[in-house]
Amino acid sequence: MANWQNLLRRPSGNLKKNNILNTLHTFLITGLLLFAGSNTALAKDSLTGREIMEEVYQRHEQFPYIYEEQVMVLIDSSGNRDTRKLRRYSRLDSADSGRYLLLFDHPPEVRGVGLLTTIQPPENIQASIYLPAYGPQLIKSVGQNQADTFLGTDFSVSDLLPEPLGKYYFKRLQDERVGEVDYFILDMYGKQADTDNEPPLKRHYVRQDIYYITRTDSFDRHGRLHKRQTHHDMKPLGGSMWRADMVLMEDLKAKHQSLIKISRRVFSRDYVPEELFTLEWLVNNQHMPLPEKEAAPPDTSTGSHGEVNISQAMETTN
Amino acid sequence: MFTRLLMLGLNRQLASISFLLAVTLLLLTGLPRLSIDTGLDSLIPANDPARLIYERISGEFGTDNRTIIYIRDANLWTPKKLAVLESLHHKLAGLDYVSRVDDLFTLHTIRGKDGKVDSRPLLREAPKDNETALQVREDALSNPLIVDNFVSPDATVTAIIVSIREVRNDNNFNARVNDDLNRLVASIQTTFEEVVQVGSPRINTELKTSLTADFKLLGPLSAFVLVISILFFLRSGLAALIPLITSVVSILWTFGLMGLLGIPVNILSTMLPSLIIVIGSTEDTHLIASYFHELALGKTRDSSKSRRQIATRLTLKRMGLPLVLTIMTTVLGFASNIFSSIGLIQDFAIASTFAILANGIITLLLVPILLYHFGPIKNRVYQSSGETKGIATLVTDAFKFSQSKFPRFILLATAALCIFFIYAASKLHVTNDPLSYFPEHRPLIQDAKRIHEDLSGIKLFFITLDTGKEKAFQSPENIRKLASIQAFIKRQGAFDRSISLADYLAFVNREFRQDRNRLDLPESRELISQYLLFFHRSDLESYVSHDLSRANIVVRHNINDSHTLNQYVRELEVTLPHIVGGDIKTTIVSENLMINQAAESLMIAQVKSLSLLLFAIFLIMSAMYTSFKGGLIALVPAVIPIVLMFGTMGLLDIPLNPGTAMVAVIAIGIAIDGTIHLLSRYNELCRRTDDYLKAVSITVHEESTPLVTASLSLAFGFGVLLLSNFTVVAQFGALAAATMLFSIYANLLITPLIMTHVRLVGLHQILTISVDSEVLDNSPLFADMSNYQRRKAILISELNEFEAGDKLIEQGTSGRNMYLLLSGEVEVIRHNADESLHLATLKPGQVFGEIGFIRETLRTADVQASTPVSVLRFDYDKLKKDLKLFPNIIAKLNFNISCILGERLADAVEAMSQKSGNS
Repeated sequence: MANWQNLLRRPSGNLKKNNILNTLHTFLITGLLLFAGSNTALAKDSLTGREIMEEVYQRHEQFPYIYEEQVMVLIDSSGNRDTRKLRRYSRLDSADSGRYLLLFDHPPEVRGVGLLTTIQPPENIQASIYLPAYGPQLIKSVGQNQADTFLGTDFSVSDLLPEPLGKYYFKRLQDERVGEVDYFILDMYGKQADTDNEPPLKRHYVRQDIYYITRTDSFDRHGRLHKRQTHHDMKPLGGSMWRADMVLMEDLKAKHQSLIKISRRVFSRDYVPEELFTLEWLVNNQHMPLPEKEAAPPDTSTGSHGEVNISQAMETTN
Repeated sequence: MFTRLLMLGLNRQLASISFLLAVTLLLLTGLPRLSIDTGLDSLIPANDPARLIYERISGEFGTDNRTIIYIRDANLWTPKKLAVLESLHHKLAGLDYVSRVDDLFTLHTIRGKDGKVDSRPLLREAPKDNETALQVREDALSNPLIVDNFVSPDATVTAIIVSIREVRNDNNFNARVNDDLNRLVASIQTTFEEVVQVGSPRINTELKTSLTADFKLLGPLSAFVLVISILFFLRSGLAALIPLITSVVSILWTFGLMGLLGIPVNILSTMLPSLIIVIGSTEDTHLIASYFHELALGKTRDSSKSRRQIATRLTLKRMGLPLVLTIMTTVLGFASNIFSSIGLIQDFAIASTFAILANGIITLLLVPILLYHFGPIKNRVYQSSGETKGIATLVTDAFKFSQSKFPRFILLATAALCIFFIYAASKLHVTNDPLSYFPEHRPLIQDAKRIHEDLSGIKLFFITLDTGKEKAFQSPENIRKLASIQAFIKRQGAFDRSISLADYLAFVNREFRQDRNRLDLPESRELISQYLLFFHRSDLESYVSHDLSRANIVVRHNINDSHTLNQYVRELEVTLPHIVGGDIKTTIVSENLMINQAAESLMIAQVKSLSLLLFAIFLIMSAMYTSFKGGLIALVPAVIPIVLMFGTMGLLDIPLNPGTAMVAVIAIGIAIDGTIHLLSRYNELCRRTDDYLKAVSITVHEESTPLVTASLSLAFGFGVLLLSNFTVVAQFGALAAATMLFSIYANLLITPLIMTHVRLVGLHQILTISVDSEVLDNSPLFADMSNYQRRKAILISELNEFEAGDKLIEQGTSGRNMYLLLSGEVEVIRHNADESLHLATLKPGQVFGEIGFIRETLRTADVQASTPVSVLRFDYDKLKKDLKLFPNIIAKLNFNISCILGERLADAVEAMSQKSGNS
């Protein structure tokens, strides 16, 4: 949009001439915008579910190395809250493989507990847990099913990972407008599912303006809604990329909520070295939080409210 | 005034009928507001401080209002059957009042195998193949938190535990929940071999259904039994109809008032119609029997109308006081339960007290009117001599024979019997458990038993440990304390199962260590905290508080006997401080426990009510018979049936429960009625004769028919309650019936034996005696005595009446009687050889025969009535006996007699000195 305006901008002349030009200018811009808008609308209308999801991933899953400091608040059905502080390291090794490490820093009794997840082709997710108090070993297979929640939260491992698009079919439903925002509505099915007779696994609400999934409803086999994930504190990171600084997962059946607040985010390979995803690193107390001055190089980190210097961050993707 | 009050119904017939009609119409407006309450709240004392603690603890660790759906099938673990269970799970979870569903689909399990640890739901959804289903079975059986709790050890039974969020102030809530659960259970019944549900909603609904069934059955049946027994004993259709009329009106009044006051009908109230019919009819029976008696004694040549009117008036005159007294004592019996802290009993006490009072008022106002206008003329009970005929006579004769032949043996045997029964009563235990209200054979009880046998009991209580310190239950030491408590519970061997945070931690530890043979607790705070990460808050919310400062042990059991349960809980209470130390506060609580612990207050309330009632009756009887000894003696025949009743309970292992707890006080209230009737009649007869044995015999003869009739009718009526759906009501009926039979024994065998040794004076007689006060004022015998003392002295004496010419004293005979002339004139004539010397003419107030009274000597002159006279006769032996009962009066009389004699002596000395002076 900014480039178009630059193209249409004219140097200023006398007032009358300028007025006429301005009027023409306005008409022209309006016409072009309407044309462009109708083209965009037409383009959006013709997108399939899969195409929308590809666009989502293309826009927002661009960075292979992300370091995040998170605060997780667990809220039970009585409203009691548990707060945990964590660090999350993501490292995408290729398009279909990656490693993720979630480390607990607080409360002190669980400091050092780590959840290590690896994705290997073809779409094989392996999770291991490290309990410092138990001993120097990684305990494999924390959950048989990647949809199972982990470590007392309402999130499953898969909730925090990008969905392998090849594994699912995305059925586009009628768009919806919620408030002032238009959404694509996509139902996610297993690849072999009978989409006419089976309930979807999930329903994504994708903001049409930024192609960002702001809400995901999860259903059980009978089509009953049991979980809802919503994204808040949306921040543009530059270009077409957005990130939510707050993710809320609600277990509607158990009436629990798990809230992740990202207090710091760094897009940097240096923050996510390869040796991090090993037992040795975890055992040798290297998981302990780094001193503040080492932890946050000013050029690549988000601010306290998740603001990001995107130009610097972009460099880290190379 | 009292007589006027008694005659109110007769004297103001229209006003009385109008009053009865108006009250009936007013109270009828309350009937639509009548509600039924089968909630368990009313079983817990309102002021129980445990209530608040319970509410706090159940708010934190979850409600104990849980329904267990029991599913049994030999092939439970198939995809198809598990899919049906999954569907059921979702249907249950979808019910708006269900706060939580715990079953195979919500259980979290951790499985350590081949160096891996699986932490996941036991079943996220029904498996698609047999292999997975069998794997789930194996996982469940390997989890000690699941076995015996959710899955039976042989895996043929599983349970769904449904936590219900109770909606207060909704009368139909439990019925709605029970219907929903039954519907859901029915929908899967064809898939499994057996599916049942047991929990508060079912218990509550069954209580309500049984209550309604009882209501429909017991009242009419009692009425039928009443009619039959009255027809049998009194052999009159109207005699059977009258109690029915008064009962129906009383029932309407009672339930109308309950509606107006917002007192709900509870399981005990189902007895009310029967009680009103049975107990209320006793007064009617006594009145009608007395009416027949008066009819038999009346003149047969009078017109029917006149005969029934006279008989009615005489009946009221004769029966009025005992009737009022018996109503009062019965009312007191019921009212004494008002002090119970258990709402169920208190509500019943209020309703039943009113019922008996209302029945008394209705009887006093209505029955005389009915007898006055429609009383039967044909009397098949009494012969013209007043003698009874029929079965009651047989009973009476049997008693009379034993009484006259072996009085000492009877008293000794009764004393021995009482001692034995008191010993038997010492084994009495209390229970208040709602499940014990139902008979053993009932499906509900059988289902609860099955759950207990295959899994764990449906009842539970919580043991909470409060450290007051955050994260205290991250400490291995505190976790060990939980385990120690559980080990103690296991050693007690009374409870089915206990679960705590320690079990969860031991289980995770076992799976991590992958050693199935060891269930060790983690040894460091860090490891405990890190293991806890494997659980969702919802997995642990029943066992530990959010801040880990409080822990909760859930104990499941199937103990239906409060006594046993309380005993074990008390043992736990004593042991807990030794295990946890002084820093941790422990509480044992649950709704079921509060209900069971209320059993203790049942016992306390029972003792309180009994003491209070006995004291009140003692006071009333002492006042009525103007002697504390009299009050005490009157209690004896009332206490004997109660001793026998408690002994029977001990012998037959019948517990003291909300039903049986009331028998004693109610039975005393009723049993004393017979005693009052006997004492009143005896007292009346004693005024006319100096032969107490004869008076006793007449009393028993006259009163035995109504007494036996009333007691047998009561026994039959109470016996009807045996058909109740509630064990507590049936036990109440059986015991009350037995107590009524015991009361026949006490009243016809013991009361007469006691009566022969006493002479009581009724307050009513003192107040109503009609004597010329001028005569008393002038009589030296009553000098310096208050009006009350004079009246009482008169009543201690015998009132004799003589016609003109009758000889009161015959010269030359010996006799130890002294007379006070009340009215008329007597001549004192001395016979010397052939001549008769007129010594004096005595006027009212004068005393004669005093020499013989003091010393056994031959009478020195005749005393003959010159006009019709009434005299008070004072018998020396009798007064000597009465000295024990009325020492003040007798002392005063003796003093006055000595004054009279002194005067006579002085006169004699003066006369002699004059004579010697003259000579």
